Amino acid sequence: MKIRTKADYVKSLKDQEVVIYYKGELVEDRTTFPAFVPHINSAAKTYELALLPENEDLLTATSNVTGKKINRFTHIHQSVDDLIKKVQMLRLIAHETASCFQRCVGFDALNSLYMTTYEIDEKHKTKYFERFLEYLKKIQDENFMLVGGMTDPKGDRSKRPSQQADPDLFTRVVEKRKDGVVVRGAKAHQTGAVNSHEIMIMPTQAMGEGDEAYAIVAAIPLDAKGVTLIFGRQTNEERKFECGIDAGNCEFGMVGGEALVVFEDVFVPWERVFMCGEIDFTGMLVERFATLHRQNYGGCKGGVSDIVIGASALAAQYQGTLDASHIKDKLVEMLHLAETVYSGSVACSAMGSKTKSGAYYPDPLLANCTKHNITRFIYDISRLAHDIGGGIMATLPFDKDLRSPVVGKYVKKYMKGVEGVSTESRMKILRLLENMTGGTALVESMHGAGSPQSQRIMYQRLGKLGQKMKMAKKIAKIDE
Amino acid sequence: MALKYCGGCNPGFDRVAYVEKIKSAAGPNIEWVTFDEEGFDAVLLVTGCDTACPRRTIDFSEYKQTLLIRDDKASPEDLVKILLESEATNED
Repeated sequence: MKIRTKADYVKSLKDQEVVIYYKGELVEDRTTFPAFVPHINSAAKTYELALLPENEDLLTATSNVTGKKINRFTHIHQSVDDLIKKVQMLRLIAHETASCFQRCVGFDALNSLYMTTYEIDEKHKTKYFERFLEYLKKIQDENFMLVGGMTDPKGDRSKRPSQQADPDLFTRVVEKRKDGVVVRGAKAHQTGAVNSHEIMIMPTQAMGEGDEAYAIVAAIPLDAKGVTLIFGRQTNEERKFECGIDAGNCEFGMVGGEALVVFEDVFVPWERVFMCGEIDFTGMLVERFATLHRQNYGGCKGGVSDIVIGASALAAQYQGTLDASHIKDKLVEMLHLAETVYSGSVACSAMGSKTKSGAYYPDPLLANCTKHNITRFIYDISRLAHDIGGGIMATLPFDKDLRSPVVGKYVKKYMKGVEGVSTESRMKILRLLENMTGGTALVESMHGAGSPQSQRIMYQRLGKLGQKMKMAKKIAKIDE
Repeated sequence: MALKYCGGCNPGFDRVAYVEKIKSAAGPNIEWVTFDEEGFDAVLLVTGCDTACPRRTIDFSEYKQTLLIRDDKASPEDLVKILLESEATNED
């Protein structure tokens, strides 16, 4: 079905029977399961906002393939303006969800594959780009949600894929048939997987000789035979089951609802295979996907930070500290950090360039710099939020205590802040801050789109250190 | 009159609420259409900040009149007066 509205989206998920395990048990209906509903609500915003006149400029685009109006999450960037609009769109949606809305990963998979399959064909005379265009037309037309599946479990990190004691620790082709390939392995912490329709598996790293079976790119429906999803446990996730104050942000998810996706001998027809054995292009694909994904973080995390800053200011206001100079200074610092990460995303987009395929690509050094700042600044913003909010954020009584006929009066009395603001409002804002600034939410800032070390490797590669040394010698008038 | 919004990445005011006030002040004197429709020669461009992103990609000079709204400081009644009276092009 073609998905336009939230109702279309939810129905399409219901129509697809996906094997998902939560806490050791099979989930019967993923669209009503309480742990998944907040993630569905978050992703649904990518559909809902596209229908609003006041947001469509960011949420929609014109397809370069069909000329039709499409959801931007299925678009191939055709200009620097498209790259900037992507970042603006992410900030906008984050304001609506205060959480990850998951769909950027598939978006980045589509863009990195568009430009890379074009270049694989140019060198190897293969037909991947043509195949990929057909797939792209389908996703643009149907507007379904795609998981970008890059990260393999990786086992012993000191060994290459083909050297692992268990060869399945990197996703691989175990059989090539006339009509397709059979895939075995897993993709770890897959954002949005439980509420998506398909997954695009891609190699997790540059592959060398002997690793050809691991150089596989394929689009796999999540209801394909042999696919099993195991949902990842998150901080305080079962508070969402209560639908009360304690969840902090009950309606939307915490990070992206990540899952382990297992492929137990899954058959994929050739028309859904976009790389198979071309190890010489695995490094390029990984780097492009990583750059496109790192580009995002100043947009979405900048937007999420806007909510944290607003909540911190409200927490201060509700306890009478908003006018204290040190609080104002901390809020200013938070604003500075949020706008700094956003600046990085805009900058790498503004410095983007055209690839051979015609698709536009952000500046990789600046995109890496953006994500590297996220691994620090979101922690700094969260630290300041904790500082402003106070210890009460960690020691508040339960929502049920507030509503208790016996102890409710004590909670109302002793948890109250300034006059004119209810204890309930104060508790709501403190719980929102707690939800957004701890546990899983922070770890996602560190490792989502690659751990800090992967960005530092890119600095070494792209930082032009030799050129900088030459410039220093010239200024110092050193000839040797 | 065609109504065109920017995408609203980080607006400084509630654009939709402000437009509702303008529409209410205009009453039946202005017929509103969307920017995707045809048959209009004036545009009310409502953006959330000074950047006014749609101007990066859309040439508004082809329309007889474009009124750009970048904040909610002006009174809706004054804006309606401008929309009804002005024949200036690309008034900011």
